[in-house]
Amino acid sequence: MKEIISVVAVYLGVILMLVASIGLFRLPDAYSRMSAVTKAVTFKIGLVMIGVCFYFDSITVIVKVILVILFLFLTTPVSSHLLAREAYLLKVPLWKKTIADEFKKYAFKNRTIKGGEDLLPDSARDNKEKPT
Amino acid sequence: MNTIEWFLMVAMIALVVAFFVALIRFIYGPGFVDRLITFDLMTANLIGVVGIYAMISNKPLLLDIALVFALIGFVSIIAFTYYIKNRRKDERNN
Repeated sequence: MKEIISVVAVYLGVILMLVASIGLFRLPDAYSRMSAVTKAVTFKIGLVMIGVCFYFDSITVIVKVILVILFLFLTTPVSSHLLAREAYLLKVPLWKKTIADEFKKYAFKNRTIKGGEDLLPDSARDNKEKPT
Repeated sequence: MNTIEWFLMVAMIALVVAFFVALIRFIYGPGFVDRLITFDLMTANLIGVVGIYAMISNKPLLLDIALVFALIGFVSIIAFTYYIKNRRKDERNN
């Protein structure tokens, strides 16, 4: 019974991983690819590790599994957030049919480094040139 | 091998197929960021393969490798992001 539960958990994780790979291959945009990959990575590793946990049934394995799941749940959102932010600031192009771009207002606002004017978006540059 | 191990072997083969599908994006990816995302997926894939192999070969010590992979993936993505940031700063100052 325990092994059947573990095999079912592992198969759910593997199906998620295949869906994530197909999404990585087919989605049009770097940001949408990132969303597909990040969610799948956290939940897939959680499911496979829960399967390992049910299969072995010893206390050291449970501690290691909890450590792996904890590390991934802490670190994957942090790293993907940082990567998406740097990608936006590096001007990786959005998809053509993107509707909302709310980060545009805040992205290039507080530039104090020399020569940062050409990184401003067009609307902010127009506002700057108006005499106030 | 009994039935459970055959099922686990099929799951491991499916993970390897997912790894190679991601590798196509790694080769044709249009930019640096896509390759980093693919690297994230590959690290998770390797953690899954190591976990399933620990179940097949009945050696729970292999889970230490999964732990180390989880840490190394995070640190390497942070390091590459720092590299992108510094490159952006250099382009702006020149």
